[in-house]
Amino acid sequence: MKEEAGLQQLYVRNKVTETVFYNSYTKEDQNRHIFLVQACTELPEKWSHFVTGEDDDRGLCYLFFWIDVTSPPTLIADHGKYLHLIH
Amino acid sequence: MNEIELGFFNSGIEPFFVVFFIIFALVIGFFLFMVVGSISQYSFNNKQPQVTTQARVLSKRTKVSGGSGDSSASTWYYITFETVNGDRKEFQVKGQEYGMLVDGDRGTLSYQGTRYRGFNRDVSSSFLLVFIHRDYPEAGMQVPGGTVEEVNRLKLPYYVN
Repeated sequence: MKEEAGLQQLYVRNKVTETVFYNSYTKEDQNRHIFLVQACTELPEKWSHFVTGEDDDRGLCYLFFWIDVTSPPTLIADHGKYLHLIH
Repeated sequence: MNEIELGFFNSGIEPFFVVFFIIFALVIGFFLFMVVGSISQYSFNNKQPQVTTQARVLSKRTKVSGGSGDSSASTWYYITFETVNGDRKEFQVKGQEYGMLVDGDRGTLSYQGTRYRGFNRDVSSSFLLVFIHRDYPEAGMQVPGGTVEEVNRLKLPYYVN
């Protein structure tokens, strides 16, 4: 989260579920552990962040913002599949 | 001064009993003070209106006493709330509630005087953080993720600093 979103001081509240995801880019199955994570400090409504770290997405610019979990827009792949478990 | 000391000895009262009586009186006085204070606070709170207001968790703290030597330690848990009016109020809460609430949680706070009656976290207004690529927005919205080392050993809840 620090590398991808620039976030620190997080509270990992609970584990939502666990699933196997086929990564078509790396052509392998990945075990995904989905956690409900909450920010410990007040965060802005939106911000941009350049990815750090050593992975392939290093240097990409991501734009972050918030969506209402009760009426979420369409998310890529299965990212929205487990939203019903957190509200 | 010498006359007083002589008076004690002359009256046949052992100095040990005098000291014992003073300590005993102090302990009893302390307990009476605490009991009267608690009853007074209880009575005061009963006369206050019950207030229900929108608020958020501002900060949390604990107070630990005892624990030296063979004695067991006691922990008190406190949460400071900030109401929509900007008022800040600190209440003593149970340990479980202390653990379940985090800074920034919003919800409905109920209290009566200095008595904490509860906080219902507002989950209907929960928001999820998502992102898009600035240069490839057509890739779509996604939820941020990362790598968790030794995920099976992760003890929840867990704070990341």
